[in-house]
Amino acid sequence: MISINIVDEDDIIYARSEARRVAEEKGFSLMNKTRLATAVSELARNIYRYADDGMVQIEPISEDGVKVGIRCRFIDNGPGIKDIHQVMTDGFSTEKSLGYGLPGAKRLSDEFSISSEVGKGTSIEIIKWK
Amino acid sequence: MNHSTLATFSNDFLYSIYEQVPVGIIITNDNGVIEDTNKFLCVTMGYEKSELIGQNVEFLIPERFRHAHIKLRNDYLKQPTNRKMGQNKELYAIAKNGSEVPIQANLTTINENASLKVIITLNDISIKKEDDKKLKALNNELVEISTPILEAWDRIAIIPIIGTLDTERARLLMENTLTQMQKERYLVTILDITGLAAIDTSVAHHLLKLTEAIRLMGGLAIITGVSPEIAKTIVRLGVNLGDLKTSSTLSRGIKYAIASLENN
Amino acid sequence: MKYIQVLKLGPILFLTIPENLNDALAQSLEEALLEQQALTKADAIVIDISSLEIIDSFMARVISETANASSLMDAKVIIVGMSPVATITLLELGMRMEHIETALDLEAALDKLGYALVKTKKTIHPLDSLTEPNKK
Repeated sequence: MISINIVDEDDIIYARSEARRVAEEKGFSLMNKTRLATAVSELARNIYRYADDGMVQIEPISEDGVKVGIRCRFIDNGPGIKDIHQVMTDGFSTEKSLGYGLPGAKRLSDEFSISSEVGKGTSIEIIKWK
Repeated sequence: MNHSTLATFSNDFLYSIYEQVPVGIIITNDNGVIEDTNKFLCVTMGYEKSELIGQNVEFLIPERFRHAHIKLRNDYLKQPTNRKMGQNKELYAIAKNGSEVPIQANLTTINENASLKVIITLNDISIKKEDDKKLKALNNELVEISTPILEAWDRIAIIPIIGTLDTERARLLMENTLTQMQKERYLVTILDITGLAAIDTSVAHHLLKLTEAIRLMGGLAIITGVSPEIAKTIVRLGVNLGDLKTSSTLSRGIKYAIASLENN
Repeated sequence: MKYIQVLKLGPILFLTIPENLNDALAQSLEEALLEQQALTKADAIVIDISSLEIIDSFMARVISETANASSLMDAKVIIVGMSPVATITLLELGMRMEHIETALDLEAALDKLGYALVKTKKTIHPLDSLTEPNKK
């Protein structure tokens, strides 16, 4: 498992390159490699923007020894999200406003789960299958 | 339970049915210890009965699944029902020669003299899996062939969309169209829906998404082959086409395409 | 600090967005472009995004905002270099980029801007006059 601390902006670029590299090693298609890297970029940027401290964990996974995928976790100690439902609806994030980019990241991933506590932080997990 | 017909079968006959029926049968006690198997199971997996009796049922399960299986087994016994094993999962059993056999298994329980026995029926599905794989490959080929991208004029592509447009096909169509567009530098892409079986919200959504993608890449998308039926449905569905150019015939669409290439 | 280059060809400005753009660079990019635009009174801007492997919402916003700022200064803006992969991920991200005009390639961009490549002078090879004095 690869663990990357997100402190400055270059860490976002590093995190998404690593995700891309692992996906390439596992033989992901160009489309899926890019989807994963883009989702990682979105979610890592949230950590950079809204939290003092956070990390991205990238891990290749396999289901029943047959299905191959990559799991990424985004854990931060930021302010947390008060209304997850609102934040997960499109329209909250557009080209014009900042938003959290979560619905987009979810669409790019195959599996997506989020938990957050105001004042404590947020934890997001995504999985992209090959 | 009506024993009347069965009563006419001799025990030997019943036992032969058990041994030879073309389904693998394993009988375990409520601790997962194998008490008996039928002959078909032995033949399928390559074991002698004596090698299996007394073993834990996990003996037949690949090592990486054993731990999880023990837990599942215990959970099952808390509320035993007749059920299929491993919903939505791929199951494997280890044959005597060490190879992993894909299987399908079902569970049932029977009370025998105040103790609970679990009956597992098991089938080797390798052939079915191979067939499924072949079917999937054929399907994919069909999807590929069924949406050819034809070059009509210099820089104009025509894509006849025939049959149904489900999510998977739409995804493939989008990827192919954009890739070809970039490769062949198609400035106009005509999507002809004359052969489209039906149009509902989901199909309309896929079509619109495709036209958006074409536009975003710098191309012009035109939809042709809009029949009165489809026109009515689109209006009724309330689908917003924006400034997307549509036409009832392919020829008009091509004329429009050529005109916009010249004007541009 | 990376240097953002804006190229001028007649009334058209060309800008290539470098890979791995960050916030600071994005700002200098926009500044450099607007500065050049004011200086040259360019009425057409072509922004090339083909070196971007990954376009996330941040990048999409940089592209949008740069294009919008330029058009506020009365120039037509065209984006070139959208790859199929970029297009699909952008749409899946939910970035519609509706007010952005794109072109398939540089030629198509010039076409949309109403410009055409015209060759007016014959080229003279430096060795021609030495070896074949009769040829022009």
